[in-house]
Amino acid sequence: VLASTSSATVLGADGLVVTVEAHVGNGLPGFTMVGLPDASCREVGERARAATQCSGLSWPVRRTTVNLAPSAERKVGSSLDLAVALAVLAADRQLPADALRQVAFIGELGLDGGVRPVPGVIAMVDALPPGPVVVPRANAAEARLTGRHEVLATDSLRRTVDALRGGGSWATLPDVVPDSGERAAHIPDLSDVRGHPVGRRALEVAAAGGHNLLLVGPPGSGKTMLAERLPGILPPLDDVTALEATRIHSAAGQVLPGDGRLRRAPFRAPHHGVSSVAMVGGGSHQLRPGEASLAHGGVLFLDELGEFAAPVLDALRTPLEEGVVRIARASLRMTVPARFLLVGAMNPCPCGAAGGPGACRCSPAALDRYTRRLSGPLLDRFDLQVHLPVPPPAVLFDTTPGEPSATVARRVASARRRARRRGVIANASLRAADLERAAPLENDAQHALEDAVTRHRVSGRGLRRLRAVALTLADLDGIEPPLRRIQVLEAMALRQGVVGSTP
Amino acid sequence: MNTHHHRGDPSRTNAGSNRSASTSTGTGSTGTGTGGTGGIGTGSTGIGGTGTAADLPVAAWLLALASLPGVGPARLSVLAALGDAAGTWSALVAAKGSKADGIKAAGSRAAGSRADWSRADGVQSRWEQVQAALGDPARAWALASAAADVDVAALWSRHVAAGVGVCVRGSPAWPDEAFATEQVPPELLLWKGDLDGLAGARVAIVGTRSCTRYGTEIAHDLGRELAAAGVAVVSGLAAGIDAAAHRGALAVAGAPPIAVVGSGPDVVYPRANAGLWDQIVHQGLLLTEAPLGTRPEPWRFPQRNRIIAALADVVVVVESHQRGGAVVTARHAAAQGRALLAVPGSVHSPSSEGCHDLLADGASVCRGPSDVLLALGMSPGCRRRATEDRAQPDPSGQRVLAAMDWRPASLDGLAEVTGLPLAEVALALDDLRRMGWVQERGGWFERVARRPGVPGLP
Repeated sequence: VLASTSSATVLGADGLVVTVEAHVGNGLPGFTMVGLPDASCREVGERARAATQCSGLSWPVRRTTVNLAPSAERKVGSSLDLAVALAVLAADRQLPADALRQVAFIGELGLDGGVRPVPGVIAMVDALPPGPVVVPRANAAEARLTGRHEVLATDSLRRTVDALRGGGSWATLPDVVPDSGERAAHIPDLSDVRGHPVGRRALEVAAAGGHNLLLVGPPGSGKTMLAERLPGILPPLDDVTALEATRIHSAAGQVLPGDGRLRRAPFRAPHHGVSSVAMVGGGSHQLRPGEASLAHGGVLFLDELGEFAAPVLDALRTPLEEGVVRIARASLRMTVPARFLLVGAMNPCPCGAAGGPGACRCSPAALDRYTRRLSGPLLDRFDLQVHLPVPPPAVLFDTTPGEPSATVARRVASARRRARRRGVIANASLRAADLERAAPLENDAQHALEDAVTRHRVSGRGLRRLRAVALTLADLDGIEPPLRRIQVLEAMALRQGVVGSTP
Repeated sequence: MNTHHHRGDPSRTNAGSNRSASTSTGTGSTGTGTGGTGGIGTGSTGIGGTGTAADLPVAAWLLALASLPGVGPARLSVLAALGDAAGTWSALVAAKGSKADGIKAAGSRAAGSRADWSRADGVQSRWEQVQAALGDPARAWALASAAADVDVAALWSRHVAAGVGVCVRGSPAWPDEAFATEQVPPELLLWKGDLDGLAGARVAIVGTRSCTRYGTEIAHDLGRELAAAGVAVVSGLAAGIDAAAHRGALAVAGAPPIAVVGSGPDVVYPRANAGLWDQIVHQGLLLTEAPLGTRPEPWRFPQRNRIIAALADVVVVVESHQRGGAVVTARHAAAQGRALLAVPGSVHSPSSEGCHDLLADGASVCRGPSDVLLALGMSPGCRRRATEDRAQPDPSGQRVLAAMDWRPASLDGLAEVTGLPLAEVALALDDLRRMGWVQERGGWFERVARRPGVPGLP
């Protein structure tokens, strides 16, 4: 008469373990569901009834109550379908109730009795205590990533019931297809890029040091082309980041690679019309990870940076600072990892012509408005700010391929190894004191920095950023600190005041 | 050469009030109309018997008219041509008050308790003249309703208190010869600084706001050399070429610069030039047609340009885009018979296209200050020789310099052309900058030409 089992839903990028209790008793026939299910969750009753009947089982024509515990938390989504159907069947004595007790079930039901994949399986499985867990076959690969659970796959309610009754077998687990070169082939290669010595260098430094990059250039100068090639030179994700990134992508319903685990740095390029919620995550009733979190471990590319709404850009300041997104709502709050490399692209001025001083026809007021669209604090986060002119025709028709991504990636990887010896993933995250220690300056270099302070009114923060970039340059060129003048000057050359600067 | 000799004189400290009093003494207090505008009345055709109004000079009434919305140089000229600005003003005020019971009654009310119908008749006929002159009764009524809110005496004393002088056409200080050929000459000029600056030869240096380093340098050099030769530099105090020319003129002890602006004398525009604005007020002369507090509305700039063109004996266009305002100023000046010079630039440079068009159309070429002095009929004197005292750059510096051409170059382009690694280009550029071979602005690098003497570009 009473049965219970375990399942889970997803909240942000975290799993929420849900105990599903079903009671079938006397009274007027009907189905009631309690325990704060939201609209998408409440529909489970209809699906479960149809699925049961289509699977050759019978739905109890009695008073049926399902409770979802903990009842104070809101449940969203269809991942509880399978558990609800099974709990009802067990409460109706069509299944041994004991069979459900130690097993967790995740999956959405179709009316035909099929079990369909759901988003966020890895987060849900991770939240469950160790033990057997039944998941849709298509989610089996990611479910196994936790390594702590016995993953059983199913493709229909019928198969599940049979297996639980001891008369059938679970679905075969899909073969693990390791992330092959096939996916890598989709990432464009740097060898296609002609010219752009500064852009290429900036890209390499951004990848090696984790420095945020702002590309400023007229339309058609190749900003997007360069940015798209950044994932190809970033090192593969480390195990912790890979698991975090996979959870986020899974929770957001993104397609995962064959073996369920993200290894390659993600590349996210939201359109400039994106809302704050879509950017950092949230939503009024369903907390979903946003683009900032989907870019975790990889690149967040914002093309036409000046066109993004100011609140959207401001919302990025916390993740840029802390590497996480914090969303708080009246009833819910969540923290989702969001450590990404920010790459912005924009025109130098509204007219976009800007072939150099004297070419731009923007009025000072228009230029001023354009510059002010980016708040100073955000602009300050870009350690690298480079101007990308349209390459001359001779360069565009040159057929000699540029340096391939693989070669650049090797230099990037070796620079990152040096950074790891300093205890950080990349130089951009060095704290002030550690930076001071890691990047001592030769006298000449010191003078060059002092010069920068007087000439360009560089702030103390800006000075630290310059120094971190100079350290990355030394790492890339295989030079041991102390830093020399040439590295400081190159760091300064890679951080020109380029926005709206065309006089 | 130095025309500041009055500056320490306490009688000139309240320059505005003194000067304007002197321009209007012939009209205001004695009541004899000697003004060049012709037929300036008694000045006591007051409204409502306000005691102070009777003592106001004609400049005050013209200023009041100029302060009304929708009154630019053209309408002001039409109104001033009626003569007796004070009478015009009282007609406007009376018209506003008469909407209900007829202008005659209002006129008589205005004239005081003694019903002076003949005076009321005068107000009536002046109102009709105003309407006819404006050619648009609606406009006349709009002016009337705006005029009702203006306290002329207060407006006048605000200008006096701010040290702003008001000079009307026909007054002794008025630069008659400058505006002789002008179709719509200004009726009044507001000024701050030293009006003696108008005394000598004047050269306008004009050009685009979005200029290159090249243009900035030339404007600065021209400003400096001409000021040193005793020629007043006239420009518009805008960003770019204008500012560079003014700065150059202020860099030497010579003829003080003259700035003609489009906003009120207290409305600094653009804000970035606030320091320069101040310097010109204290060391030169600032002129405008706009009363205190006037915003820099776009239509005022072409008007401002016509004054620049009129004041100049010679107009030099340093850098201008094909359809730039400077080209318009220059063509206007040429049409008024002024000598026109243009500075050539690279044919690739969009900011020199306007100059090249002028040269093609027959403007004289300006290769430096001596060409301008020749155009003024002055002897250029012995030219200071440009000597090379900069250290020779090292080989990579020479490579970068050779790659730079004379156009603004980006870091990307330089790395591309020289084939040097970015770090070496950055190093070479820093060395070149220290030695004075290049200048950097907003990520663009430009070669610096060998220049005679006096360093110190902005």
